[in-house]
Amino acid sequence: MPFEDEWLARQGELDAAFSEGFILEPQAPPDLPSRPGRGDVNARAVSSSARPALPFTGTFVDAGSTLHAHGRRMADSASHGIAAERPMIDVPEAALPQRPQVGDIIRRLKTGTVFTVQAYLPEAPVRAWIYLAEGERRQDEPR
Amino acid sequence: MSLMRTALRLQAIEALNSDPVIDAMVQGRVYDSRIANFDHREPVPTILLTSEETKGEAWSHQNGGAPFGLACDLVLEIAMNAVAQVGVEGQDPFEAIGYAATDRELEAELDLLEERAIEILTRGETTAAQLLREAVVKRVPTVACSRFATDQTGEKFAVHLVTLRIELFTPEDPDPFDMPTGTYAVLPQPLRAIAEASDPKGSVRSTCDLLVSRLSPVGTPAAPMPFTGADMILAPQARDAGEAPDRAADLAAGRTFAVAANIPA
Repeated sequence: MPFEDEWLARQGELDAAFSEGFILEPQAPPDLPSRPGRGDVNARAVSSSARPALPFTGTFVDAGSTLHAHGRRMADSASHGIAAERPMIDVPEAALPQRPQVGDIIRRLKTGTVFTVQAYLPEAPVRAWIYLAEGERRQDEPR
Repeated sequence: MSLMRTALRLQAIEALNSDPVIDAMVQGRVYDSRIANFDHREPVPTILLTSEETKGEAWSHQNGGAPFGLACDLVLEIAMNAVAQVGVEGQDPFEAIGYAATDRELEAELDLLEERAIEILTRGETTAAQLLREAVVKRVPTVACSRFATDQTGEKFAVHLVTLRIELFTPEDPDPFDMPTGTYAVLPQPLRAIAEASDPKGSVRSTCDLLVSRLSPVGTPAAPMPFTGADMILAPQARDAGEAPDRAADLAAGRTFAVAANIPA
């Protein structure tokens, strides 16, 4: 069996071993008060009314996140990765019937961390990468 | 000062959205100082509006300092990509309505948007455009447009980068006997006029509200007390020129009397 077919056939096993739960919370610009149905792109985004929140499973990848900017005796949790690639989620495309859009919020259920979507890139025939940005506040959290 | 730029951006977007042609084509996707990259699946056309290089000379060359006669570059990135017409034998050709299919159409539509944008910002007659000209924009002495196009991303994508040099009104110092009142009194002109004219539920208003809450430690400028008169205490006596007045001695001698010169009510 060629490698690619083998790889595709094993996707389910890999997902079962490595994947974890996420929730996609789509965001959208709020409607202009004077023009219902027309979004105000410069307003703070709100939860999308057209796209409901969607739980899905994927493999969280945070390559290089161990290289941290910190002094001695500082915990990794007290500093940020300095040479890390962006955190990403490797998902089967079928897990997300609607593509996540830039600015959507993704919650990692294992840690409760909140990310926003920076890009969605289909890769292998049935897989896709979701590039994330970390540490963005929710709109409804106090500043 | 620089809040004039904020007023410029807020009201320029209102003006652009008030143009019927831009409104129909762009459908409200006029972004204020957008930082994030565009997703290639985003609907087009879009207009990205930024205010860039600002320069100004002090009105008083002798004293320097504010107020300055400011001019800034208002940059519009009008971006659009071509969506090819898909014709399959035996089927009706699929075409996304409102999108350009050929390079010629794409360029013509970008020219159209540019034409309407410059027109509405400099000579528009909608309420939003009039407010922009009355309150924020004094003159537009120059305009420049450069074009950028690529198909490296797998689709034909073109941008018209329009730079309008905007001379901004220098608002007069507030009249101390006619201080502004209300929620937005703390905002400098012309942002105050823009805030007061904005939709109470819109994002222009909420942005101004954010600035007002940040400015709240400054406090609203207080109107001066109206002049009602003067009180005087006199102690008439003969004195030497070198002798200092002695208030305690005046009081002890009973030489003082008070005069109130009040404006009759």
